Amino acid sequence: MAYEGNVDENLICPICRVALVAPVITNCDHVFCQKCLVQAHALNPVCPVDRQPLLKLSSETRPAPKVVANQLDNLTVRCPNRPRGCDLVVARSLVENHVSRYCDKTLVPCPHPSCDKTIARKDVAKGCLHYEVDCEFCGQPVQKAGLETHQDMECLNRKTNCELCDWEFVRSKQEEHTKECPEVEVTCRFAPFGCNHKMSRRRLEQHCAGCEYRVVGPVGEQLAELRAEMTALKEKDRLKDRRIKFLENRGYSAPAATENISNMNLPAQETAPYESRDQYFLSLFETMESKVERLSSALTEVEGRHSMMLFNETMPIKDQLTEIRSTLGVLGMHVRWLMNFRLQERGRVLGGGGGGTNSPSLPGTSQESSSDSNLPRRLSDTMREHPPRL
Amino acid sequence: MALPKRIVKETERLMSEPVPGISAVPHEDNLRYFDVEIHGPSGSPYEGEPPDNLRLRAANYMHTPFRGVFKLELFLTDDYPMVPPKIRFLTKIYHPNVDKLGRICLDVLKNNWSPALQIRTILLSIQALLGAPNPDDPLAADVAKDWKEDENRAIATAKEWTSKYAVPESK
Repeated sequence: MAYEGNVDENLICPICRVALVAPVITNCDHVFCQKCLVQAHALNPVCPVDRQPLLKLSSETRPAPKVVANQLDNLTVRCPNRPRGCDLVVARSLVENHVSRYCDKTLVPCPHPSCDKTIARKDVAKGCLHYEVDCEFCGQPVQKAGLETHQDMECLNRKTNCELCDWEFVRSKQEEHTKECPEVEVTCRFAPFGCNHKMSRRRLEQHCAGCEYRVVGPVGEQLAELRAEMTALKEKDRLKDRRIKFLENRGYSAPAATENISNMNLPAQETAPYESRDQYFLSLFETMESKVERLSSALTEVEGRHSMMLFNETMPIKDQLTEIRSTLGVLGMHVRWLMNFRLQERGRVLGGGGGGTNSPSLPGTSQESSSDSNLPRRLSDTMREHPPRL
Repeated sequence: MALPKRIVKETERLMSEPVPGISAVPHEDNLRYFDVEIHGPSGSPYEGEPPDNLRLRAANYMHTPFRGVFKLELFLTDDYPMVPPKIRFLTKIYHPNVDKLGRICLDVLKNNWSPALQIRTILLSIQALLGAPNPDDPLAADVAKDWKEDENRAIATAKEWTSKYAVPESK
């Protein structure tokens, strides 16, 4: 049984903690529901509040004074059929009568003899309603007996009134309405700046006009704007940074010939900014790769140039070497000839009978004598006999 | 089984008007099972260390009194309130009326239970028991013996256990 409003603490049973039902009072002046006291007494025959012995309930308790009973009877309760749609609030003494005799929503056995279900009293005259029908609003199959409840409480396509502002709307639009209902409780617009006030949306304007945080409001808004701007700028700055780095990397491609190649190979690199970090790294990697390519081609070029230079340098040296060799041959010939000449001269002197004069032969004289007829057979012959001492 | 109105009301009241130094929160999946925290009463060996400056500031900052905090579990059987709730210390405590398993020797939890008592009154009784150990009606015989032979040393041990085990969880 749901009581309307708070029940006075003095009318509450100390055992079941709800308003007393059929109150009894003990000899020690404590009041309990009759049922509760019987239960407690069975376990321990003392007063639950002060532990005074209660040997026999019948002799040591009596019904509570009339004034207590009257107060209890005057407590207002909600009809227990509220979940089924009865909104009646009535004095507790009358509620039993209402439910058992008058309340339309009280469940009674179905009038159909073979049906064991229950049905609200108001529908008894309509016969057995325990068959399924389709709801005319949402098309769902519902038991005829429960159709009305379904349409009133659950059906999403049925119009309903807002509990707060009486606005009528289709139940499925509840959330949308909550967003604009003038009675829904909302927080102050300056809540981010510290205002803790809550009020219905209708009063929001009024509150905001007088809110202490209103002074802070515009400044705060500006602050938020500035903050947003700053983040945007930071993001921009980051992209610029990337672009600069990228361009710096490209700046190394000095040789004009290779630059064309790199331009041709990597046209996509022109389109900065990069969306993701991966892309950025990929582009970096590509730049690196192209750089390495350029370097290797430059290396081959330098190699070729070097070998050419080397070749050019060695050519004259080779020529000179052959020249020197030929000169050497000529010189050797001269030397051999001279040696031969000397040998012949010596032979002639020996043959001439002890030529004591043995005067050093002058080139002039030797040349004269060379015209002599008995000059040796060949140069090589003398060479064999007297190898030149070189 | 539906929760009796009385338990619903008691829980509501424990939440809306909590007893100072005591908190009892029901489990979401079992509304008859409560996690209880009891602060050691001031002036007792279970009060916890007097906070030094730094701790005091930290305690103020977190809005939690820096005290010995004892955890208990409380279970309301189906016969509640005709039978007393089952209560047990989860935190280790050096007390002549609490045994190693945390069971409590308290008359209102046994013979002197009355259906007019409530969760809050029982928890208050336990808090009072911390403030007034009763070695003449012991549950932990060894502790009670120590208590009787050398009360000062027993109190020192109780303090030591409090600062060791009854520390509030940092949040």
